[in-house]
Amino acid sequence: MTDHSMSTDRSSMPPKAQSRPWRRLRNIAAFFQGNLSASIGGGLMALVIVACLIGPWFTAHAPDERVARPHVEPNAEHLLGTTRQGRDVFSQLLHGGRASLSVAFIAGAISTVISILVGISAGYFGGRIDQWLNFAMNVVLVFPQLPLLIVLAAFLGQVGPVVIALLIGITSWPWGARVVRSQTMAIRQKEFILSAECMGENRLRIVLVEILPNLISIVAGSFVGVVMYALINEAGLEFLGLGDPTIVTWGTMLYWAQSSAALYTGGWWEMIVPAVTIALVGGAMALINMSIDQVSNPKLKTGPHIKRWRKLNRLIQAKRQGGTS
Amino acid sequence: MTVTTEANTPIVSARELSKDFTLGGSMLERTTMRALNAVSFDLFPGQALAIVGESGSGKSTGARILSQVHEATSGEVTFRGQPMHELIAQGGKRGFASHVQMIFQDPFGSLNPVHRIFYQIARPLQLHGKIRGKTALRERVLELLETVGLTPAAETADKFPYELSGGQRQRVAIARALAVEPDVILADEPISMLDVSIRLGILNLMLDLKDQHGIAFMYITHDIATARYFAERTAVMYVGHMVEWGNSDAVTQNPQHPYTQLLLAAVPQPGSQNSRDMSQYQHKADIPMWQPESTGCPFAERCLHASPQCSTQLPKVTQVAEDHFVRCYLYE
Repeated sequence: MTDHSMSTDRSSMPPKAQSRPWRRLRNIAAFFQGNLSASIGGGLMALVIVACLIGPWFTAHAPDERVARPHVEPNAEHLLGTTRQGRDVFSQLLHGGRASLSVAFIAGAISTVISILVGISAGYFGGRIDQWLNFAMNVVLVFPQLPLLIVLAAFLGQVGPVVIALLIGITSWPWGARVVRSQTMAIRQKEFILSAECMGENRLRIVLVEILPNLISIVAGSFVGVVMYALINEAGLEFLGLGDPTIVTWGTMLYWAQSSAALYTGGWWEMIVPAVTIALVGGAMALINMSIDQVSNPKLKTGPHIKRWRKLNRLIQAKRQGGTS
Repeated sequence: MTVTTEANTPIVSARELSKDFTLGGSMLERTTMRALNAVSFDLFPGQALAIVGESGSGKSTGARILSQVHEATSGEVTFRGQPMHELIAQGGKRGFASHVQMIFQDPFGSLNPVHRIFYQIARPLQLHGKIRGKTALRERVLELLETVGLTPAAETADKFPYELSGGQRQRVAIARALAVEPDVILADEPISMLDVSIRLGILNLMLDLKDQHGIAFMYITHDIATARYFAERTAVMYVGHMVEWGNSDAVTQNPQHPYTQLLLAAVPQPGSQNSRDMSQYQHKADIPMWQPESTGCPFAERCLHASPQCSTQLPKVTQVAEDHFVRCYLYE
């Protein structure tokens, strides 16, 4: 009996070891398959991130040097034209993307970590701890965010991207924390948590291994949400002149375009390029967020099922008409 | 001789267990509900005690005190003659958990959906230090899966809970409880959420574990037929009180307490078409909420034989047969 089980065990182990990464890949593929918003959003994001990561090595011009006459129209030499100061917009876009996206992702990471810590602790431990953490959440929630950021940024003087990332990160966690808290409270009632407690599992492991994996889709959704929000707010702060204008980001590009009256003087590309890019990336992230929502909440999922149903319905209608005529 | 004494000493005994829950939000309208009132029972190795009663009768509360989910308000539990709180103080919660394990009612809620079956069973093995080394761990997990009848074990181990049926999940839950090598298993309505066709398989599996591994079972159910099938002894509970207990055959075939008689009469009989008139067994009255200041027999309002003393003082325990006890004035 045991011999037999051992032999089946050995023979089954190698294919299992191979199949795991494949299964992961298939899961990722399944997320995008038939999900148009996920595919568009994911594709766009991937394109932008890759372009900003490797693009700057291939650009012909430095982003912060005068390389041509002011406001040269887009041409083969300067793909997206030049700014009032004669800087290459295309190379600014790629270099600035690095800074802007890093700020967005760093802010997203900070905010997500805080919201997980606060949300799970409040939801799992309950009682006094929940009361205090809930109080902290409410306090941060009632501050109007953008005005608070403006005041903080103005107080600190022309802040660099890292400080902006920190500021956004530590002011935008309560939304995520709220959702994580309520989901944790729901999961905490499940019997598998009770059974882990009966097993004598330690509390940290219950939180990290039993509860957290069940929250992944919610955490991912709130992460993408904060990234999107941080990208737009960073651009907003810098557009208002509260950031450091010597560092090239999408926000400072807008700031310079505005302060040099690019639209009035006919250099529309200087303004339109960063604006459209920010809108596109924000939109892509909203699409990803929507599709994560659909995965974590199947009620929102329509896509292929509705399409299939419509197809079937059309077929039935056609048959019915064919039968009567 | 040693074998008989071993079998005759209880592994767990609960004495006069009571548990109060506070209800209500504000300080002023706070009420206390007594979910368990002076309940005593013994669990013997290789034997099962069935706890029968309707919802809210305190069946699960007793099990949850033994599994350290709740703490008893008063009363004492001893494990192998040693008080439970002393054991927990010595070996920690985990130490006591290695003796007493629980199987839950809902097999869909009791397995974490994000972990593979392998992890669900391997974790208690690691946690309680039952096994060292990766290959030994995997072998033991597969062995446990085979014990509970989940073959091919290697394939099952790599599945996620959602890939299994309710009955298979309940078998995984049993394997997980077994992994700790407990002396006592508390089964909280283990078959009530399962398809009728699967129930017998799970019951027989638990019977095997009871007989072959000498595990003491506390089998909580509202199904008297399975209680008699599975358990040597049966206790009937009503509103936090044990009203009648003893040998399963005696309790179910020769019920003494009016509540037990009512409970047995309510079991649907195959073949009989008309719904039977229950008024010959009871007065219609609400099921009371027991509070620490409540007095008398909890069944007094519904009882046909109630006398004035029934609502003033809780009847004492009367022995009606060799292994058959009842709490009722009719037999004092």
